[in-house]
Amino acid sequence: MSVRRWLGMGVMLGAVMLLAPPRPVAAGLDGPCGASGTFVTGTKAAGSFTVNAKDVGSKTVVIPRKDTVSWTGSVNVPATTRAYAGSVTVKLPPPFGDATIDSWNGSSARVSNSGTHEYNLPKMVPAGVTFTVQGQHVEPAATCSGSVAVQIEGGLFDSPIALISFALTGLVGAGFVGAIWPMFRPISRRIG
Amino acid sequence: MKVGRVVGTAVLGLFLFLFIAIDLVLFGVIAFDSVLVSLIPLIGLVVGGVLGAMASQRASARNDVSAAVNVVTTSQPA
Repeated sequence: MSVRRWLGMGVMLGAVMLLAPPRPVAAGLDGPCGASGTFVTGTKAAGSFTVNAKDVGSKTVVIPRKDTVSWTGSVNVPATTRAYAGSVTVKLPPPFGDATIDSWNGSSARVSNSGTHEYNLPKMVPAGVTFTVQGQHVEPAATCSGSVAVQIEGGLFDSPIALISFALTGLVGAGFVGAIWPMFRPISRRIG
Repeated sequence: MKVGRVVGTAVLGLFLFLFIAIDLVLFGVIAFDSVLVSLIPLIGLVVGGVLGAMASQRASARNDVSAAVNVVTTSQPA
């Protein structure tokens, strides 16, 4: 196969990816549960805000890199002692599955809970990239699951990961071109 | 064909396309949880291997021509 054909395929693949925007994430909360969180400091753009899992829909929630979240959770079942389990995960590219952020399990008669959680995401987590955060809570009489599209507030270069990735792309790209360079050199040379 | 060059170029292709995939995620062109993030480096592995094989053949052919040219030039009467 000629180099021209390979380049053509590469250009086509690039064009397809550029023309196909990322699909909107199907978000929401299914089941007899309720969950909400108030970001106390909030974002630079909007200040303090509250996210209700039932109302998020396909909207992307922009969150600050560090904040304190005042959260509430409830499940609409009779208040009897029963076993429960749940988790919050971030969806990774296939086939890597999910990364668990938090999980819980036990036995309780409570049907609602609340608290505060302080978080500070590492600088290496890029801003402006949409992550799908999924949650689920399972009890004998109820199963709830939901997901929300989350983005950290800020620009591309707020995280060093962008500069590191661009630099490595350039370095490895130069090595790759060097490795295939004989393809672009003429076979014959002048005699004499 | 030199196997080392083919494998080396395939590995470079894998990493080049992996970093390109990360760049595309950072620019918001593809979603973080898209299958393309896993697929693009594998495409790089294959493309790198094929281009490495082609480059290896080309380098071998060039060396053969160089050797033939040397034989011709050294066997010519002064």
